[in-house]
Amino acid sequence: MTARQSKMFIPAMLGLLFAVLMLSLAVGAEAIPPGRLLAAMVGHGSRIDSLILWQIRVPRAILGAAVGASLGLAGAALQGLMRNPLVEPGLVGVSGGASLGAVIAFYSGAVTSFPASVPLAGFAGALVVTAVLAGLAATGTRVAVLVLFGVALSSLTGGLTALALNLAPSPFAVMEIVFWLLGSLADRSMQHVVLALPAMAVGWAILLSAGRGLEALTLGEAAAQSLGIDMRRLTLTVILGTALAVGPAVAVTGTIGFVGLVVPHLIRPWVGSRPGSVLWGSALGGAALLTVADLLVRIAPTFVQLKVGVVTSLIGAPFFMLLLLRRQGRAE
Amino acid sequence: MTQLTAERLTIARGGRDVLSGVDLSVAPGEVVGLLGPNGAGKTSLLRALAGIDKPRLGRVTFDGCPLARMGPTARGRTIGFLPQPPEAAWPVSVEDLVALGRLPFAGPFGRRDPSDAATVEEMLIACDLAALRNRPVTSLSAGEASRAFLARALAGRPRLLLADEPTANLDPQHQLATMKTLRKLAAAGATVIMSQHDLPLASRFCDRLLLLGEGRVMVQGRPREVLTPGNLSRLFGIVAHYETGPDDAFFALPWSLVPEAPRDDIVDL
Repeated sequence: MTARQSKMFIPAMLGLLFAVLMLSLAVGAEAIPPGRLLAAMVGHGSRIDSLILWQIRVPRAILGAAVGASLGLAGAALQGLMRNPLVEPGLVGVSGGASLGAVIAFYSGAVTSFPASVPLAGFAGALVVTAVLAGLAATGTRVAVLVLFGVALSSLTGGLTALALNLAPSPFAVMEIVFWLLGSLADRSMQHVVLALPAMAVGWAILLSAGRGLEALTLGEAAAQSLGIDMRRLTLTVILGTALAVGPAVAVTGTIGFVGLVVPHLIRPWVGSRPGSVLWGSALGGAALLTVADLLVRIAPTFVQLKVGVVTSLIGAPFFMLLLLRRQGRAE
Repeated sequence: MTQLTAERLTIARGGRDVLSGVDLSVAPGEVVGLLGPNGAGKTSLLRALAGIDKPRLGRVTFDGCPLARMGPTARGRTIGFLPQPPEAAWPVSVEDLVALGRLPFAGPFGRRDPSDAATVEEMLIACDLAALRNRPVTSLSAGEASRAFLARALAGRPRLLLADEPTANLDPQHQLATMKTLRKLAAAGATVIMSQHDLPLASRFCDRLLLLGEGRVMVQGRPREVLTPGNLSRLFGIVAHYETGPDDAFFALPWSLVPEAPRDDIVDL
């Protein structure tokens, strides 16, 4: 990959994202052809078109792109920090912490009196898990141990979520939680966008600011430090940015797996593997990928609409296996 | 004129002092070698001199300024560090790897000065990497890769280069080429401090050697003065064979193990 080709990559990704976003506004239970879509966008469309566009499609498109960007960006940053291509927010427990927090908000009934409690509790859950990981990282715990610890945290939050389901007062509450956990962008309103987007945007800014440190970290910790990088600060930056980006994302959409793992791998060959460029590419790529996945969910001829989290896991898990096998092949 | 000084350094690792009472002053243009058995604290000393680890006691100054009071960016622009083994976590191209050496000079938002590209270009040519510039560094042979990592460290134009075993795992040609490059850097006014396990290379290419052992700097001086039978026996438990090269250069060659426990009465310190 030459420098010129990678310079073209970000604009190309922006173009792709724009195209799939437009498609996601047009496609759904009721297709809106381009002419009518444009009219509705500038405020001259029919009442029905405008209603579908502004009440249903736009919030869903914004959330899909934002959540995808959060997952892709956080995955790229965590992989860069741990110098391990198998890390993602879901694997290290950040997503698990966020869904546990959100489930607790559901379970305790706080959601009925205070709807914002779900994303807030989700963020708090992600923050608790990231604080534990950051604490370990700050004391110089080895990366391999850190990853395993994250896997254990992921299991623990999963277990606690199961406990909440086990103790749920009614089958109806269980169903509500389970469906929420599957991860979906359906029926989300502008309110969800307003709740989640600001924190996510702050998280993105923090994660993108880590680009220079992650570039230096290509050379290992000692060489990165000799280039003027403060390792403790870099670790905390990535951990905090991940919590801010992923916590609200999981809190408004439920668990959407494998986007954070897969996207950086898809981006890396196009940007010469440079960790700083992988961040930008993964943000745009994650946004485009989740938008496409949600588009597939909407046009798939299934009796019950699939949850987008189910689709990403079905595609992502085999990809992950393939990746492990290929890495092992290279190591031998 | 001294450039780098270390005063009464005590360096701890894992809660234990590995080196104590290290005093050192190095002038620009000097090439200093650290010798000692595995675990003697060579890497720890290099890391402390680079400002990566804080010494438990004592201080390091560069141009009269304590390292602890130098900002991380200023330190990055002044001091180069070449770790062993060098590492590339991602398959970045050789050119991108070398450009990482210019990172401390990048402006806010990673903006690069045009002169950075010229410096990278110069290092690619100096280290004979021009033909490999687009290759992923992870696909290179050990010799090619070590040239790329050396070029990365040189790209920052360090005034002090700390190199941990820069010739480890290299074939003879690349060992000599690396030592020549380091001497050239020193000739241009930089200070070079390296750890070395290779006695002939250390005796030929270093102006001064520090023998690290028993938790301290046992002795320092010109290679001819410190690579004595007594010191080598005490430090490594070896007997060396001494030779003079065609250019009248002194060198010591590890020859055999000391047959019995070293005797205290043949100390040459």
